[in-house]
Amino acid sequence: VVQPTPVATAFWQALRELTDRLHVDAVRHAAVRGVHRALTVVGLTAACVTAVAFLLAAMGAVSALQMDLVTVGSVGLAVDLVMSIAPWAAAVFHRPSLEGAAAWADVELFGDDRVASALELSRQPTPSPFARAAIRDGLDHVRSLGRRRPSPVPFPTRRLLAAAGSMCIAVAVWMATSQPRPGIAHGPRVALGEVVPRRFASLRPADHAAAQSESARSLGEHAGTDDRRVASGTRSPSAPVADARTSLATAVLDPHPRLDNPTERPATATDPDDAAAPGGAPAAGETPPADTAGAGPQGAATPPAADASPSSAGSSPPPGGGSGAPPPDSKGPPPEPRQTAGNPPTGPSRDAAPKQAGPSAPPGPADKANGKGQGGTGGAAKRSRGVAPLLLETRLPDVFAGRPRQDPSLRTVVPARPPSVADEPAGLQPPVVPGHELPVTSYEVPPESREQVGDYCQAYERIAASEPTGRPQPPND
Amino acid sequence: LSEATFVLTPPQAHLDDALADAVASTDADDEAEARRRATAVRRLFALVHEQVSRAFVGQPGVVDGVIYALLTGGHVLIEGVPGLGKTLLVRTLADCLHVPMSRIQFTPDLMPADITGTTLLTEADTGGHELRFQPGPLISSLVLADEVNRATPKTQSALLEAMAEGQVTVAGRTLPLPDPFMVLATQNPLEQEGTYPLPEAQLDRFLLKLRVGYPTEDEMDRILERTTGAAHARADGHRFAAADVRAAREAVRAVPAVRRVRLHAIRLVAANHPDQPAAPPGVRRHVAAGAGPRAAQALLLLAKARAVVHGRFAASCEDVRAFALPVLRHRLMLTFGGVAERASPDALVAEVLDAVPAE
Repeated sequence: VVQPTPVATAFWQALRELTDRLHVDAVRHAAVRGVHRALTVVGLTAACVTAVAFLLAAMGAVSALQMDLVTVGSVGLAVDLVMSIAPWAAAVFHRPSLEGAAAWADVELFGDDRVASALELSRQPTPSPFARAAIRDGLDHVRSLGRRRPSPVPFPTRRLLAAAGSMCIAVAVWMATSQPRPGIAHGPRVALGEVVPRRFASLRPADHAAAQSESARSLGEHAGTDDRRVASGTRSPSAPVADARTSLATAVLDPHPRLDNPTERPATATDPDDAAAPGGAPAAGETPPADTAGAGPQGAATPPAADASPSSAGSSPPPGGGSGAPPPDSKGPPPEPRQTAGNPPTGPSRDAAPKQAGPSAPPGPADKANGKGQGGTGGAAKRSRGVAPLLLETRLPDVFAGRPRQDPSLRTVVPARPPSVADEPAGLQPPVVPGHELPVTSYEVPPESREQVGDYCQAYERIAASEPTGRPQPPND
Repeated sequence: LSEATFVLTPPQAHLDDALADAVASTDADDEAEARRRATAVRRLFALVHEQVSRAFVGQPGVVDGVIYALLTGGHVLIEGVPGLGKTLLVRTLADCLHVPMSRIQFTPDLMPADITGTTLLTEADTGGHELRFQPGPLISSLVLADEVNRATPKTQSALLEAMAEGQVTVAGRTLPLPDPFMVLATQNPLEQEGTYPLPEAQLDRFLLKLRVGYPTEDEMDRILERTTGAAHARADGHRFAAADVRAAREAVRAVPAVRRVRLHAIRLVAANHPDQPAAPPGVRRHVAAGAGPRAAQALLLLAKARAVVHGRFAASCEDVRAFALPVLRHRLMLTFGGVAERASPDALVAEVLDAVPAE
């Protein structure tokens, strides 16, 4: 066994110390560079998000992709974190070899392979005097490197400033697009082609309170109208309940007949669209939806000629079962008082159509179809022509919290929500058709509306109990 | 000792203790002696370069090459048109080294005996006659073979033994040449009529082939200033002895070259062979035969000399590559197609350098 020469031993010791320093420096550099890279990539990600936000804002669809932007940002941050940690971890677990340290020292010193040659010469068993001098030469160079200060990591000032600016812009855009604000189409989305007044673009709590009061008034008006129809035998006993539900919910959601344009032309029977079957039967020329096509003769057998009956011109109030309750300040006829049995309705033409269908129409499926089917809601939407029917949207948390997102391709008004099941009197549950159940939501009915609904239901019970021949009688008969 | 019995023990002592032990050891004396010898080599190189540069204006590469060849014991083939100071360079070098110098003008009728010497029948002091050897101009320390390609191959071959073995054989007698012995041959690249190109065997004896180009305007101005004045510039100053040159040569040969550097020299030479896989396309197409082992020896010796001159004690790959062009350019034998296409040996060597990167 040959002992290495002392100078070779000293050279190895110095080279090992240099290797340790290089390892520490490599870890430190990797950490600092990782932080720089993280900040830079965050900035780039923010810039990308900003660009996407601006693009979507220009397209008017920012609110629809809020969650997508969050996802993109989260994924970008995760990738950024991995990219920052990976080099650092590699530097921690990779210790440079003696040869690597010698090569690095030669490059650092422009030393023409002094250190590398010294390392190789130090492994000779009996180095010559020139070889020992070469080893000592390499030792001196390694020690001179040890006295040097570690090279600082260049700070990417410009990139970081650009990243910070990008992040600020991104945050500003994010905050601007995530808060509901008039003038931006937050919340309820609008059917394509519809013009939405700015003040009704979003239904905020203040608007909701106003809508509730409107719903209470419209509920009373519809109750009187429906009472007249029931008394005249043109309406099935169960239709008022469905119409009441539709009226209540639609009025809450769609208060625009009164708030939008006071001079709006009220829906009249002369309007072909308004001449649709009571309870929301398909209008003339429309094909009833599948769930209403076979609902019964009340909707399906309504002839278009009946809609154009001249006898129905003018004097009748808007039919019940929809959102077409006339506003109090409208130019249409005021709502009639509650009808009695001796005072039959003077005949809006739409009431004649059910007569042709006959009173023997089965009340269950037909009522369901008229009250909450696609045709019924379509009629309600058309009766409120001139104002925008608002689609139900998850951006109304206090009204429709938890409701699943609607298909944006739908062009029709979403069926109105009935009052809570717990609030309805027992025995008045609408028949449920499999596959067409209404989603159960926590719908808060205002106290005044609840009282009116209760009164209405009690009146209906009285009608149903006092009807000996199956023909509905006026409640105050 | 074989490498199997050599076990590297981990260093246990502290760095300062190890250094103290290193200084206290007897090896330190040898190491100091090595440093002193290396310093002497650097001093010789610097002083010779300075004194030659006083008389020989410009051409620093040529001057460096000549001195490196002197330090390594090689011979130099200088190629250039007449009138560029080749003879002045050799004369200045001889004056600086204080060694005998001779000049041989090679002509087609020059015979080998004219340069090696001949035996003459002379009258002895005792009254009789005797054969006495009359040494030729080849027996000298510095020999300037001017226009060496004008002599016949027979005369040219007379240089082979002197250049390779440092001895001449005349009339059955082998005479050693003085040490140091160095041949500096010149040839004119333009005037080729009536010349005899040097055979490859003789070309291989030359350590370097240097090309002397035309001086620049500034160099020409200095040449005119020095040569047209009243006093001729000559190398005056420190005079080295032949012993100094021999010591320098020994010191250069003592410089270590690690295996990595040796392998690099070998790969550079091997890349000149057209049948080697590492040969670049130009070499495969235009080179009939590449450099031999003498080229690798020349590369390594010159690398060692350069390392010492640059203050290092071990040769590096960069030292080897620095001499690749003058060492390899005259050792490439071109094919007929290469000659017809006027392939440049310098371009081929550059291609080799690109093909074999430094390690």
